[in-house]
Amino acid sequence: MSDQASKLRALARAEAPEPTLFKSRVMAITSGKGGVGKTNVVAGLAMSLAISGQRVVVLDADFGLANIDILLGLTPTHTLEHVLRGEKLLEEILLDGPLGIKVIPASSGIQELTRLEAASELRLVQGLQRVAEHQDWLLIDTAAGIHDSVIKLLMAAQEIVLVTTPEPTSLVDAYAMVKVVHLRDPNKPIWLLVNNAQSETEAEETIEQLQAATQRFLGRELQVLGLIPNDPFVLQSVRQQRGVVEIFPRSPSALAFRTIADQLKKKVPLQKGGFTSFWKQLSLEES
Amino acid sequence: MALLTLDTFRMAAVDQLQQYAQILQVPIHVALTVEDLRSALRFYQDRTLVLIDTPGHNPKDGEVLGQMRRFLDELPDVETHLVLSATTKPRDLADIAQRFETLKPTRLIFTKLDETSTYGPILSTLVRVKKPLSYLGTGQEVPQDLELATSRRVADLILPVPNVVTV
Repeated sequence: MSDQASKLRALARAEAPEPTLFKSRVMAITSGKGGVGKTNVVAGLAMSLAISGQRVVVLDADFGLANIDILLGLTPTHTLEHVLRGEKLLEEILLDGPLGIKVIPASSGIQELTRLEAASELRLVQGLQRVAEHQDWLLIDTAAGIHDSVIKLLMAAQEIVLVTTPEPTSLVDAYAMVKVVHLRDPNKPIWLLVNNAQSETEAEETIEQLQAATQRFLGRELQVLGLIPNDPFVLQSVRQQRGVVEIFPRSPSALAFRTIADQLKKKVPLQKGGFTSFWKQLSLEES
Repeated sequence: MALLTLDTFRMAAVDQLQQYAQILQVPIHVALTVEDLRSALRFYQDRTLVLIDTPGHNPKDGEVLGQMRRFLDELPDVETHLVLSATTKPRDLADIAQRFETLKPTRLIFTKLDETSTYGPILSTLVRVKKPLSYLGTGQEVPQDLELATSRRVADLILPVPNVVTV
């Protein structure tokens, strides 16, 4: 392609190594129902990816009940609210979490993403873009439930991790979430993760039930990421406001997180884009 | 280095700068308010160079000019370069330069030298505003069509050295 910046591009290429295919993977973690341990999953995945040498930034997009900072024992002095108002740059509110992960803290009760005025949205999106330039992964902890603001983030992300527990209520809500996403974009990669499974058999049954429903009604098979077993160490780590992967690395759940993170690293979804397309999508979804 | 832009009037302008920032791997920040600008400058204060793009507009629009002035008043340490086109009529050039005095530019940049063959107005403008010239734009290619301005170059434009062929 030849345009007015051709020469500049050539000069820049000579300076820097060829960029990787995916600059950063943008992954939204969601669940139909609340209380399935979604934020725990985000923290577990982020830390496991970090252990394997990946640079990870977590965006707390649960604007209603923001809490990943509490889960990790972080005390933000400034939050996304200051960024949206233009008082701080996104880089300035980044928190250093355990194992080198970065956390963008939200504050409870700030305006939903869909209701942001144009200026705030531009500040957020541009900040995210600058931050993601230096990261391998952007993990988005979305709010539970099927709201416009959640759907908007899901559709903008490259991949979705859908967290469910074996309980029927959670399963039904997970199916509803798949349906909403599928109707908007049948090719959007959705990874299924069963949290809090009592046994492998129980997890397999959960996966089968959900697969049966999505295949029958949507003609679609979900990609299975795996299961996180029910593990008393999780509760213990939450009480200590530390990540289970960090303080109980040999616990069953920590080992499961590590396996899943390795899987995620190997399975690159066939989707174009990376972060640039994420923020363009986010702006487009405005309608 | 970092790029800031105040130009949100044309959405395409942000997009364009964004692409340049991506090629160069430098951060870009859109400042929508004086507050944004203050935060960004505070954050990038250790950078060697911070380039700030501003919206181009009709020089007769006093209101926009006033807005620009409020932004620039926030930046006492910033060097302001006024970009003029070499194709503008001499009288308009004088008028524009005078209107932009309120923004206190310290240097001038003349662009579109490739689209004209009369360079006198460049010299008369320089003489009138008594400010040095910083760069000359000679085409649309980035970055090769921007050159550092020298008095020798301007002299050569106005009094071209004839091609002397010796046999």
